[in-house]
Amino acid sequence: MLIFDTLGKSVLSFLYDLYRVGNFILSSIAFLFNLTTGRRAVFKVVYKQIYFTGIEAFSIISWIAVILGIIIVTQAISILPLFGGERHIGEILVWVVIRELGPLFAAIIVIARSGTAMAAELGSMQINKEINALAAMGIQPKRYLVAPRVVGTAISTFVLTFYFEIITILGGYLLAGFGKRITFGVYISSVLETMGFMDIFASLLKSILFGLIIGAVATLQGLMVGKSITEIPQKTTKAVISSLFLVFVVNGIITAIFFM
Amino acid sequence: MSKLIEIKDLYYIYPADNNVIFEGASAEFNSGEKIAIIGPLGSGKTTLLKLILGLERPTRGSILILGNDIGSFRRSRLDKMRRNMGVVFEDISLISNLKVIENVALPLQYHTRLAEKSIMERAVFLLKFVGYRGDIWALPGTLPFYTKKIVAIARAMALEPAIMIYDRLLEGLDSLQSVQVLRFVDEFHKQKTQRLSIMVANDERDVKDFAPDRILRIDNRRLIK
Repeated sequence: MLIFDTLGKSVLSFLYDLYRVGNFILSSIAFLFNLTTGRRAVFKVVYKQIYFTGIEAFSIISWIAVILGIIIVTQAISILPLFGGERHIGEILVWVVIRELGPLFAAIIVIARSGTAMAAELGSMQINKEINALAAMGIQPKRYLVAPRVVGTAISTFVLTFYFEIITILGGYLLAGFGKRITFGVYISSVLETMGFMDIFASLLKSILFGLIIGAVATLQGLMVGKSITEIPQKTTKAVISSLFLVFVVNGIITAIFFM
Repeated sequence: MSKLIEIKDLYYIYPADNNVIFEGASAEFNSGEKIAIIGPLGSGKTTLLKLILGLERPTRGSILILGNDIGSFRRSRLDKMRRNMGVVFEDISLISNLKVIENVALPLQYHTRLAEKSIMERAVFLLKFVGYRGDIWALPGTLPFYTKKIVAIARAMALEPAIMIYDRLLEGLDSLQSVQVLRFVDEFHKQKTQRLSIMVANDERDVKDFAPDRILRIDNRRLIK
């Protein structure tokens, strides 16, 4: 009985967390479309979040994209002759990079860099009673701290995903494919011919949803810190694990809806 | 003098441990007054401030601001009400990721439509008013305690609120710093004849130099003159 009890509690707790993440996402979007007060202060936080999550991540994401591109293109070029020729390289790149790995890798990098930072930052603000001070000034913490971070993270993840995909495809060829059996013209036209509207749309949808999830989970966990400083690393870890889990679940659902 | 805050038969039980903090407490605070509220550690001083700000809800009884029961306020109305209250908490609570000037400018940026230049000018003016002489672009974490405190006071003054609340304002300050702080707190109080200033402290010695019009003591879970 104990095992069912524990299992039941875990499921309920997960569903409650899921409800709160959904609530954070929806209220964040609603706040930004209904900013009667605080527009300037809130948008400043959005810009800061985009700068930190998006612009400052370009360097690391470029490196990872190029390395992934080399791996995929090297493998593709080595196995394609066995399956009917290099013209199929576009299919591999679109199916693997655009549909799946682009959004996933960008999300993982955003979780590692920004999800952890947001959870720890809000956690320490909670400990220092800064959240209380904001409320005392008539500044709603959800409107000022959560909404701009969630939206800023979604915009950044969206941009980073497309940047990641372009660098993976181009960088992969330049470093791994250049001078091999396949020419650049064949390589690019193969990618463009394979890539359909649904591939781009699914990738776009995933990146935005992943960004919203990461922002909401990180801010939620940060605000759940109570009075003890030891809760900050605990909630930060939980933010990472929950974000990763939800990102993979949503990725699977979207892939199933669009491509099964 | 008009009634700004009215506490009526207030009961408050702390939800975490069912500790009774207030039991039938009542008081009135009028415009233009300087009020001191004193009570020993753990008597409920900060809780009372949180109740007045609507950060906590009374278990029973009511708190009226300008005749309106804040217990019935929706969040947006509470936020509007808080615009008219400047609070300096004991633990200061400057926003750690904002620079000194951004901390002071934040209430103005959030609650007003003033041009950014005017906001920054007002923030610089307030920092000078409280005697801040450091780098306005410094992060609060790098500042000494006294400097953080005066920045928090400047931030509380930013919207020229009708009610100023100081929670254990002089705690941790030496006598010279206390004199300096009380000088500009008093000057700010006198700038508007209708302004109500409330200072909360542990005992009477801490509020003597604040020169309050009335002293209320939290005693036996009530407010006593």
